[in-house]
Amino acid sequence: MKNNFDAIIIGAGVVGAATGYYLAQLGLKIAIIEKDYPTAGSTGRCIGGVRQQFAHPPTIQLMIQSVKLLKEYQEELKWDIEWYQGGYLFLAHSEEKKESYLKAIRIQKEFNLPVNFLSPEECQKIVPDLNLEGLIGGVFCPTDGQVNPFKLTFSYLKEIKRKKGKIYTFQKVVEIKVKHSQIIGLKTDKNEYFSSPIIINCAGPYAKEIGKLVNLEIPVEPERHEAIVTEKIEPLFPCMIVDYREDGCYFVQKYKTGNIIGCYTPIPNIPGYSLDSSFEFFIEMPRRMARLIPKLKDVKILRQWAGSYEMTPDGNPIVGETPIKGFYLNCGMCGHGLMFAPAIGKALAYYIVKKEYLLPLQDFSLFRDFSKKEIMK
Amino acid sequence: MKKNNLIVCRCEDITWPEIEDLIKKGFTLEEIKKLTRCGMGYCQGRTCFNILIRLLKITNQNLIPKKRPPLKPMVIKEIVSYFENEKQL
Ligand SMILES: Cc1cc2nc3c(=O)[nH]c(=O)nc-3n(C[C@H](O)[C@H](O)[C@H](O)COP(=O)(O)OP(=O)(O)OC[C@H]3O[C@@H](n4cnc5c(N)ncnc54)[C@H](O)[C@@H]3O)c2cc1C
Ligand code: FES
Repeated sequence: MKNNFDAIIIGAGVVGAATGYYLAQLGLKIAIIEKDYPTAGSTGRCIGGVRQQFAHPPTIQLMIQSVKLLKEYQEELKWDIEWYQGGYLFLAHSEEKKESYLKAIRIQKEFNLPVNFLSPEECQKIVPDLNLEGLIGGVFCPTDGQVNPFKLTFSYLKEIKRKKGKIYTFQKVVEIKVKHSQIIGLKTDKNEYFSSPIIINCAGPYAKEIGKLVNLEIPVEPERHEAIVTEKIEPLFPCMIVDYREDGCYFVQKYKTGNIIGCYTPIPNIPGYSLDSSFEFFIEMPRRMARLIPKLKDVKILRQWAGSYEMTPDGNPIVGETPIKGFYLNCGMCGHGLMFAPAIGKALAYYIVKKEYLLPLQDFSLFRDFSKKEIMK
Repeated sequence: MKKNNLIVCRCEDITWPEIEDLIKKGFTLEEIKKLTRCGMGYCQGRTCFNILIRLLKITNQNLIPKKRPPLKPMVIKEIVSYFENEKQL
């Protein structure tokens, strides 16, 4: 039968593409169904950062795996995905922040991450134009980095097609068929029926809506996050700079092109699916960047845009089984889907096909206790 | 018109054959933008998209990458000074 698959993935963002890549590698005949074009969702709106500096041990393990895979991809995927290990520098402007970073470092060291707390002067060695005013120090991990989200996603898709997987674009999943609590297939808005015993929800910020199709409550809420990009300039700093003050921000210079790209987490947060650009962000983000690197005052802003974070109650993703047999989740990435995708896609694929745990996926289960929060969100 | 070495995107230096190859492979304008950076340059596609929309005879607005602020590149200094004036009000 034409539309008969071993597994169907909903959503051609980086998470769906990574999951599909590994399922196809394990020999499954797969299809990805995307309501728009690949990377049209959050993936095409993110700023490309990849870090291992988290406080939640399973997330650290996950990210160490992702970095390892990204390193190997350059060869494996036969395409330049623009992976570059320029590091991540988290700045501390208060004793309180420093304390919380030191606490996280102790956990990260258990996993042999090369993280260290640096003095302001040492920070300046990495970012020569850094404004030291009010700075107590910063944590740096040199093996963190950046990757091109488009190149990564499209190279997974290319490999999926090579393995005879199918990618259907501009088709929205509108119905999921379940029989005796077991997945049997789905229907799209083009009135096409696809049958499969396995469906994986990789719908990013729309994960909750997909859950509704099978009467399953998935605690993933969309939040608007805006971003900005500058013109190309000479290399100024190699790492992602993170300022977690209330009026902080984070930004990185794309090593391949020289554009600086960044965003901040609005306080209070902005729930909902809106992708509008706000004037407030347009005037606030450049100010925050130029406060940290005064030299940026002379640089031009080219564009601002918006995307959705997919937030869960505890700041960790939701991956794995559901009460419906054959219905799996790989969603709720909380703004870290790009960096999670390689390892989390692989881990879910290995779990589905071989019931093998490459990562402690139990900690990301839908059935976990959601009351413990990630502190390095 | 000879299109062989026609530069479609002046900001990112992308020629028609590069674009044509992706179109033949079935990619949409949005995807081509993301794969080649055509339209991601200094003018944010204000030059090249017009050329492409004409060459490809695209009429469906949904297939044309969205325009976003600012209308033209703006120096951070100017944006910041606007902000500071606002704060004083
Ligand atoms: C401004 C910003 C900056 C970010 N920076 C980073 C960063 O530096 N590092 C990082 O790791 N992450 C970052 N993120 C987060 C990251 O972008 C996301 O977590 C990640 O892209 C999620 O990927 P995904 O594949 O799960 O979701 P998406 O990319 O959103 O893909 C889901 C897809 O599902 C499709 N879909 C939805 N409903 C249906 C349906 N009914 N039928 C068919 N298809 C459907 C959508 O069209 C979409 O293409 C950032 C996000 C934003 C907004
Ligand atoms: S000509 Fe293509 S971005 Fe300017």
